[in-house]
Amino acid sequence: MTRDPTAVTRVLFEDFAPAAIAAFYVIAFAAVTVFCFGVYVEVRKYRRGSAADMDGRLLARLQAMIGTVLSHRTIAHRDRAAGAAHRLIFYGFVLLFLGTATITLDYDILGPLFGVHFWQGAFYLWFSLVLDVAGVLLTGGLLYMMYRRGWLKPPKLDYARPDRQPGDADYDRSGYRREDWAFLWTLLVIVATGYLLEAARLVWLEATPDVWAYRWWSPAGAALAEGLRAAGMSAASGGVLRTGLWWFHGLLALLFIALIPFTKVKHILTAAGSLMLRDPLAAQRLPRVPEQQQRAGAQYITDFSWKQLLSLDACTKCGRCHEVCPARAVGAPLSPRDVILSLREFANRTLESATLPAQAELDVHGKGPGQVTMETLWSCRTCMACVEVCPVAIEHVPVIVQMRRQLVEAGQMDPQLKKTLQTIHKTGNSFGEGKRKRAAWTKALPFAVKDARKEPVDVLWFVGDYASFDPRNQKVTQGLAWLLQEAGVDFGILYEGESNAGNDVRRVGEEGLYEVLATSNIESLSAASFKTIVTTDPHSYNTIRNEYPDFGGRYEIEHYTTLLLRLLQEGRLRIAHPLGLRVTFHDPCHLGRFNKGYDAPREILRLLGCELIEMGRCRANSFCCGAGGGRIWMPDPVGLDRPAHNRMREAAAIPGLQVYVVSCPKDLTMFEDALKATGNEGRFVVRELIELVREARGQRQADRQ
Amino acid sequence: MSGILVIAEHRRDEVRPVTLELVGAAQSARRVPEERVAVAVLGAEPERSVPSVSVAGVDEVLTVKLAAGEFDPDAYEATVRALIEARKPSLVLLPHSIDSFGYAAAVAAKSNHGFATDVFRFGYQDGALVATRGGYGQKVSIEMDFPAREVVILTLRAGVFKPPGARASPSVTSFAAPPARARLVSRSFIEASAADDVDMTDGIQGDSSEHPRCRIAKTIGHPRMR
Amino acid sequence: MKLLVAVKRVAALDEDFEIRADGRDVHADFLLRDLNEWDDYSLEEAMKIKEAGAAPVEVVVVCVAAEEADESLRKCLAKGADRAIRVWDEAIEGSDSIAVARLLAAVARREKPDMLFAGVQSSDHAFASTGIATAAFLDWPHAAVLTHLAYTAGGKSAVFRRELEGGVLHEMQIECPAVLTIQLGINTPRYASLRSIKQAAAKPIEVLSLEDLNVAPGHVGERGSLSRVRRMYVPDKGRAEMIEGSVEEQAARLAHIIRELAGSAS
Repeated sequence: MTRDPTAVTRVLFEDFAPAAIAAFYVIAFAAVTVFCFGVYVEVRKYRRGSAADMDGRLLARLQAMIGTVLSHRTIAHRDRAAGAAHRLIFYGFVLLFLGTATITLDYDILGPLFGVHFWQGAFYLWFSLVLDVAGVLLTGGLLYMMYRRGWLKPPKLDYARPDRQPGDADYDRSGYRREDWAFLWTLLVIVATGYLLEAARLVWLEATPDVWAYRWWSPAGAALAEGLRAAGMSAASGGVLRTGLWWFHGLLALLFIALIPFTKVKHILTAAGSLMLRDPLAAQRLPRVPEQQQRAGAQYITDFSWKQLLSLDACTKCGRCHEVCPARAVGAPLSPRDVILSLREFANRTLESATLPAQAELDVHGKGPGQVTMETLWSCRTCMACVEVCPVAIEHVPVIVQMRRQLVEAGQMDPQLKKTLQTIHKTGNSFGEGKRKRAAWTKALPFAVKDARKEPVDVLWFVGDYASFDPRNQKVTQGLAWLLQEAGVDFGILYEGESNAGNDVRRVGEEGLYEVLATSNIESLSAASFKTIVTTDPHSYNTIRNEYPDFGGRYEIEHYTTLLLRLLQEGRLRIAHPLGLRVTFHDPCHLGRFNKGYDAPREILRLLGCELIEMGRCRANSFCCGAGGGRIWMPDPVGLDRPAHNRMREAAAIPGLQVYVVSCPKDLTMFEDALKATGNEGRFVVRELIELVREARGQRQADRQ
Repeated sequence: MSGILVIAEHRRDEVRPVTLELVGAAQSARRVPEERVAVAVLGAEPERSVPSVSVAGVDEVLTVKLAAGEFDPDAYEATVRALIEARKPSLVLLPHSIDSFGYAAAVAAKSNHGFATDVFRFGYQDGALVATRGGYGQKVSIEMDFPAREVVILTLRAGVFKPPGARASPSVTSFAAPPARARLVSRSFIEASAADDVDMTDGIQGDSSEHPRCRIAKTIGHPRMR
Repeated sequence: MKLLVAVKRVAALDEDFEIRADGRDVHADFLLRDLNEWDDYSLEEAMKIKEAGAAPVEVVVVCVAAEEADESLRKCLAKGADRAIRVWDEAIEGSDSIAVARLLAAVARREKPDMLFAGVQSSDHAFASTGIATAAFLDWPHAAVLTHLAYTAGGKSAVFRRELEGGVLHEMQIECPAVLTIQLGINTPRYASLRSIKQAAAKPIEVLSLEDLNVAPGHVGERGSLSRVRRMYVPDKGRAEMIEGSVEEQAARLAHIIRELAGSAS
């Protein structure tokens, strides 16, 4: 449709001298050029990273990303208020941006080229209304964020970092704080001046019926205009104000656009990119070392993939990972946020210049600015709480593990860990026991446990190190053997054919040893004949389920909780009497957060007649016991709190709690110790779920504590 | 070949008590009662050590004057080889000690004598010397013998053999040390940082005036001794 | 500059082991083999000297063992040794430390290193003889039980400390080239990641025979040894006594036992 002279619209550049219009376009192009240059610098930075695996499902990923962004699911995750406020900002900004784009489309493209104009009439009026509302939304969101940052001051927005001391070059974070406030204020000023500009124009054109009659289609602007007129502003002064504000608002907005790639505002693009390229199995399935790669791990900033470098730029310092990290919570020098920010600062410093610095300057390990220290890297429990909560899909755990791989190659690790890795290599288990002793726990049983290496079984039970060798856990293992036997399950174990599944060895960064273990276990499994695998150990469950396929071993595996639930539901195991205990359940990281196995244990507890009171940090937000990431093989630093103690105190706050239920061998070990250490012995007990099932069936364990 | 030669162990001009354990062990090695047991004392002033080894069961003390007062593996090795060459004992007893680690195997290797270390039991079976030591981290015992070896050198484990109780007056002979070029030079001794620890590997030593019960009590923190 | 490090593949006993039919050793099925713990330290000491020196230093490891020892030699190569030599021949079977030392000395004559390191003893049988016997065959200066070493590759002398009973350290100076036996704790051995061990598979392991070393078969094996194993057996449980009672009672009992064993009336 062509320009209808009778249809209502806004005259652009009204009363501007041609020179002024030209100047505007020049400035606009300059801004866009600066923007493009900034994007070019960032893209050049990413391309300096290593190659990344692309699964080629770009269209599906794009659709998923758009869905995630529009719904704001990840931003609202566990922080409703931030989710709501950011939705306002997002939709407000997007609408206003689309609005400007629409005008450009009409005025600069379709109009001149094809003589088509649509921005007029009813469309124009509804457009004006929507954009005014968008501005209000945006303002509301911004004001809330200012209130949140300035008054509420949630701990996660405290940028104090645990991995540096005051006096270190990169300890001070005030630069970030200034940037955050500048971002908020700039947007607010742009919106405010936008409304004022609207109002000023209305006052200036109060005599024009086409404008004045339709003014309430821009309600905010109109209200302001009334205010201005009430304050005595004349049309002429309105015109002057309008001109001034026009340039101010325009230039500020163009400056904002130009600076997007150089500031926090770039998260608009990088967060979308990061979300689009996310690995759905991040942290559950760690990346293999590519065959041709020289170094096993990440030593230089360029060892990270371009995807990882991109996601470093997606971080908006929301602080959620910092908040949920169990290591940070106990005072260890690790904050996932600060690992990402350090690497980002390092990347910006080294990879944004025209020429790439010498390789020696690209080493990300150390105590210098932007580098990450050994102590930081070794503090991680690989519990994946950070990855799970990140709204922009940053994958902290693989970054940390890749850096650990480098530390392992250099031998820079705790002596106890070194020794444990050597022990695992030698004996196939972390206890240093002879291979033949793995099935020693079966000797106490009055029935024989089938050898799955020698005869076919329905269910192959992959027991795990702790469940096999640790005396306290052996009782639980024997308990499960009883339950399976009584339920008539045809099961067997691999005896000496089983080695440590390797989950934690991999997360420590000893990829070579992991390959040896995985290959050995896959060999044993391939030689055996079975339908499914069941395991008592969530760590083994995770790696066999998610990582063994990369090494040629694809099996159907479940954790014992789903098997037990099925047996209970099918009536193959009956409850003699309901327990009637008040319990709480600790979701093991590798079963719950990693593999979404939250429901089966809860359903079992319900069937056992227990009253389940959830802890605040439950299900996906469960708080790690602290044993993961190889930490169970490293001594705890003296003087620091421990994650298990922190968790015990959370449980102890439940009034009348009788049993703290776990379903992981490491959890059992850690929490029984923590129970005593926090002085809660006698107040409640720690029990494995299997033990509760046996108790409900009227069978007591051999010796009670 | 006959006779038993015991090489005394020195530390800073003192004969270490393990030497007397060797003497005690030597008694049970006599194949006939007349078989002579000689103790060789090596050092800068070996005569001063004669009284410490004048115990029952020692028939002769051989004093060897060495240029260096402190342990020198080359001098000890040359001396012991010369002693064996001269006296032709059938059995030579050394302690399984740090000093012996430094030279005993060299003596055996150069002279081609029978050799076993860390022996805690030995005796003659059908005329042949049989020595027992540990194996596989002390989880098994190994019986060794030395076919066709006329001289056998054994290093004995400390704390196993009983030293003789009574004193005696053996004859004392000096023995000329063979020339040996010093390829090692002793520089200094550095005390251990934890001077109060009782080293159980060597029996009770140190201040001999202190009652053994007091020293034990100290280590296990007997309140009376604080 | 060259450093030669002699390493041993030791055997530990598995659970429920059995003595062989001929009664002279444990059945091979129950032996778990690994690199001698002391050799981690002697190799590390050689690597430290190599890495500290400005001039290039070649570290060569040598092991007298059958093919299955290649795994441990690879680990040494992974830790940074430049070359590995393995000596084996059927006739070597049954050699004691002295016979092995004869072979090591032959390798040293062939390689002409500036120093030879060995561990104080091996964790299985602990003869504590191989290193010093090698020195005897080479007629090199030697010292044992080193807990500290100051030496630059190619130097004419080295200063070291050996640890005596009671923890006293004896500092000495020794002419080089020499044979030194290294004690645990002298350094912190580096970790050899499995990846580096795998990559070390590219480095060659030279296998030498008796012929290559000019050693007659009669000088190795049982004939070349200074002792012979007659019998290996599991001893009866030792005289372990649990000392009960109050602290005073325990002290008294301990003192009594020690005096009994020491035999002297102090």
